[in-house]
Amino acid sequence: MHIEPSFHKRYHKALRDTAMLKAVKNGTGRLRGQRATAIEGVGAERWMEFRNRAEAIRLHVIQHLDQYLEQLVDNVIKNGGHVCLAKTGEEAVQYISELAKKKNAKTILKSKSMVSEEIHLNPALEQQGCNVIESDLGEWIIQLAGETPSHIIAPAMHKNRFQVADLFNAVSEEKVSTEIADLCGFARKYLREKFLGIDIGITGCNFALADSGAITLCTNEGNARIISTLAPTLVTVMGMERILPGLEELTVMLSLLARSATGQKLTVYNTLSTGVRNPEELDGPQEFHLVIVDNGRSKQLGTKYEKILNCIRCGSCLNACPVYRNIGGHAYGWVYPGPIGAVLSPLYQGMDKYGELAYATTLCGACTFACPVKIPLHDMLYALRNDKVELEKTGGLVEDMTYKGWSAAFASMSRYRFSIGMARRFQFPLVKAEKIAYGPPPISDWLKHRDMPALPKKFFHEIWRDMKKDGKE
Amino acid sequence: MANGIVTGNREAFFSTIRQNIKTPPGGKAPRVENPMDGLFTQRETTVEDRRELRERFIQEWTTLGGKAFNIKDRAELSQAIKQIIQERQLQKAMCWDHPELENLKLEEIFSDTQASLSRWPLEKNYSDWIGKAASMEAGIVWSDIAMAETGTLVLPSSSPGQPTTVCVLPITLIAIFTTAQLVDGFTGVVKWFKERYGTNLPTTTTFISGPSRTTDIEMVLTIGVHGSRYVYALILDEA
Repeated sequence: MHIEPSFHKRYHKALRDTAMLKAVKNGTGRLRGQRATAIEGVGAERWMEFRNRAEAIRLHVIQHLDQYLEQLVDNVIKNGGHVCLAKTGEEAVQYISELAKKKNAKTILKSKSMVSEEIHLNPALEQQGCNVIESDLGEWIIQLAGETPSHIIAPAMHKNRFQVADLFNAVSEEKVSTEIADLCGFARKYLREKFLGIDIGITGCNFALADSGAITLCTNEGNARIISTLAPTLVTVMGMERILPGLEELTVMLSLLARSATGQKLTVYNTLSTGVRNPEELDGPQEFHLVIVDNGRSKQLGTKYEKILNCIRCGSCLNACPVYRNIGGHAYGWVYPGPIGAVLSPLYQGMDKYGELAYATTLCGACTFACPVKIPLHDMLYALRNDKVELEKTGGLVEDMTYKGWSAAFASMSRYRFSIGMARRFQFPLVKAEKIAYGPPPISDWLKHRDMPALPKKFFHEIWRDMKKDGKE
Repeated sequence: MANGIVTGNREAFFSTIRQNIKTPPGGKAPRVENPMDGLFTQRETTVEDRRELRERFIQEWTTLGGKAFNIKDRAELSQAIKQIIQERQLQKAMCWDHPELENLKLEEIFSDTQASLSRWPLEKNYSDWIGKAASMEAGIVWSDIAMAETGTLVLPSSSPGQPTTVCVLPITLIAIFTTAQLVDGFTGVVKWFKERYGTNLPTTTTFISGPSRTTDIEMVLTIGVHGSRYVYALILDEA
């Protein structure tokens, strides 16, 4: 799928897609409502306690990431699994591609994995002749459409039933109706056959547990557990930050994840797998490969953006964000949409490609408030804007002098009053009906889309002072 | 079991992480001691408490879209199973090889009906059992522990007789347990896991809260996409 390099063009394209915008508004509205009801059920105070605890857990893990990852690696290999430590996405893709070649794999089934989207795993496997099938219903829909996810937990949120029916009818031998129950029924039947012929299963990882070497898979549909049960070779791809010390911490995260994502008390299926089956067991994988991906994550450690690694991918910041709700996910360009995507994309993929996303925010803070692990997303977006300006400032003498002069004038009360007084005196050629609607360059650009209120004859504090003088206070 | 292999430069991978982690002023964030304290219900329960938990479980389970039966004796168990066989028009079911299920002599109940019951393993070889397992219309499991506050079954594959397949493939899931298995929530589950397994967890443990669901098309809730569409909990009285 071709992705337009300019954010400006991408969101303009999105704004023209009224069917998509309607679907996204409807979807995010529902998810927000469900989340609010779930929090009400817990109680605001206890919910805050959950968030505080989760933040403390994540903070500790990220600041001790080396220790927990080492422990995880040791436990996975002790349990008989293999580990690939991939510094880059390419290394991870190469490892999995070689494995597929070695296994002569024809049918590969996947459950939802944002990391695998990030490293472009599917095209690489398809190129070597594997039939790679996404088994999450939403992911399968967008795979058939040749698109990328538009929402972290509801990837096909932007599609309606008619579009889905068209996609299904293109692969179905019998006509599938546009009834949602029929569409889901067809997906079950079609994908069930594929599950039964699986050569390799690839899953994401919601959380890995350091102390036991187990991985946790959370799905409402139950697709990930079919894969982890039936695949003779199981590959789990995890972002290296998706780790917790043990079961106790996991219970806190699972309780937060489900409520934040969909408003459920718990996801329908939470599966813990230690990988390779015991010799006397008949189901479960005979081979397990855990692929731990860095791909830009370690660079965030120790920086002001370190807390972005706390993210548990619940998607609640997307539903809260007024920008996401009005442009949908594809406008963000890379794999992760919404506020989390606006922070992750420039950090992982570079400021040159995705720096503009720092402006895909109103800085209202709704994302930060919604985040179950308390990532200060809007502060990070603001910091990214600063970084972008620092990186890109043209450094011209005029620009420097203007900002320095402005800063000097506004830093002292007397200078501020003097400059405002001067502005009030000399603004008259531009003022019309107490507004400034037009002006000379460079402010003409700014005024193109908005008016600026003219400076009033008297400010509030001056009126106040006069009233005091007149004894009218 | 033979140890697995690590691919990639382990030393380089971890030294990058170690170098980048900086200790912030005030030191690194400490490990959260007892992370569950105060968030989940913590208590020892009596038989009476657990009967109340049964009501809570049933309430949550039915809200999620499951069906639950409160069972006093064998006659009621037999009646409930026959009702499910009738409701779902079952012909073929499979069940775990679990001592608790064996005590219930489910085969006797099934022998009175049109449905057959097969105990795991169905066959020894994958190519032989997978087709049979896929054709099963119902799977019967014993829930070693169940959480009332969320309506959740906890199913560890703690022995080869308790494979995940039985609760993964069939469209109907029947879980049987007694009130003695009921805990409030996660605190009881973690305690049970620690006592039973330590950190040596079984190959697979599944937490199941209701039937399989999706809202991936137009955010409309649809039941039974990949997992079970019909889920039944049969709760026996422990006395």
